[in-house]
Amino acid sequence: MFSYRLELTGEEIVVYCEGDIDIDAGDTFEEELEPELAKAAVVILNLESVQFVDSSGIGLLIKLVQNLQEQERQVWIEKTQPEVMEVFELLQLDEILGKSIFR
Amino acid sequence: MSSILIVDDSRLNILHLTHVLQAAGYKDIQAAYSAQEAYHILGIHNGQPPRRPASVDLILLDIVMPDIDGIEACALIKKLTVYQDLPIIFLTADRVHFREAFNAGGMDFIEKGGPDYELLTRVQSALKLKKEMDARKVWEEKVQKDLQLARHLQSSVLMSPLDEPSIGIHSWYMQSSEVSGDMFYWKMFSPRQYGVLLIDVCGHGIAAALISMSIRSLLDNIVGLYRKPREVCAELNRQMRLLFGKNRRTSYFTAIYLFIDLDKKEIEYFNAGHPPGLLFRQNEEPVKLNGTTVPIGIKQEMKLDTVTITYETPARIVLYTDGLVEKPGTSIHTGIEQLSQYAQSLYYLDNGAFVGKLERLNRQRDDDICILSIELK
Repeated sequence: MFSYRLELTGEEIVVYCEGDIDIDAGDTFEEELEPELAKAAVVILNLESVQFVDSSGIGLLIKLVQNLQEQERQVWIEKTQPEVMEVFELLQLDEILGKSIFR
Repeated sequence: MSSILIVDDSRLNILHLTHVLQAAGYKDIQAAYSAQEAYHILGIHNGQPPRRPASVDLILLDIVMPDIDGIEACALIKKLTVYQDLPIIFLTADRVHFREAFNAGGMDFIEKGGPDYELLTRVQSALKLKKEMDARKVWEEKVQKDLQLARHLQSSVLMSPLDEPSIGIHSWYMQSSEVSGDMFYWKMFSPRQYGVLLIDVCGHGIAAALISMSIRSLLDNIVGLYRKPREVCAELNRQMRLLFGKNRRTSYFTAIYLFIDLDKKEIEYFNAGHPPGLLFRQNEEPVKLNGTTVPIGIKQEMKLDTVTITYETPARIVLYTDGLVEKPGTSIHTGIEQLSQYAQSLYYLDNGAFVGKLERLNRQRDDDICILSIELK
């Protein structure tokens, strides 16, 4: 079960993600999260409380970040758990979204 | 037209209920004056169910009857799979039986002597529920049958094992639901040159299978024509973006493709975001065929680097999809390490048996799994 909490400071918005990012997170990502991020110039996805991301979840993340990047917004992904990072590395997410995406 | 069975040892009661129900428009009403008679109508003999359920949509069942009472009859009927969804409403004059009656599987009760509208309302809602359950069951059976057909169709395009003097290729393929997003393919370009491809479409179920099947239909041409990893990768990416690039959600697949040259004892490969293939040689550390580029279908322009390695025979290469090594909460590298050690312990097996045994590594899975083993002799 995926959920998130937003923290807005100035032009910066932090998305504290929680739970698994998989196919079930799709509607939340597209219908709730994406519209909410419309305001911010800088978006930080905090994945500290995300233990599992599957291939569908990677697809959701890519779409979200690419859409934001296309609108020339700065995006960071931070505090990724080691197990999740391994999956990101396998799929070469840094190559897809830009090497500076992780911090 | 709904069919109602009334079971009551009192003829007067049956007459009354039949009259009320008929006046409300229920035409198909059957009567039984004992539980035995009801069993007979339902096709139950010595407690054994009929092959097909009798056409009864609702039972109104008296509780207090001689010989077999309503509660015992209800328990027996509801125990039979064919009648699990058949609603039973108890007729009673005494609330003392309620707990037992509901425990036996009754869905509702009607107090004898109560107003007609109560009887009719309860009958109506029970019949409505039954109708919805029947419709759902028909739908589920139809979907299940469709999926079974799709499963057979998908299995029918899988390559048969290859067993040549210098090379053998065996596979193990398991769909997590009825159909899978995994697909594999190989081609003999000449008796000394082979191409082997394994793909894993993101997600699973029907959407992933639709993508894996459409890609499968292109492989004879793509692999047959382009052969070399660099060109095969570029063409797969172009086709994937052409077909599914406009989708609202990102669709992609990971892939590993090997071009094997038996004369040069050389393998050239690309690995697009796929778990590393493993090259095993007796008494040597396994070599990992690591990622060379991003998954197919994500980027317009992707890196097309390949890697070339040489080998000595005998050797074995294992390609697999992440379902084999991925367990929630554990590191995928740990999973790959376990696979590597497990594979080494099974090295003595012939190639077909080997690939079959590898599957046992991950039995708690909800992802598709595909394993290929290439034996270089």
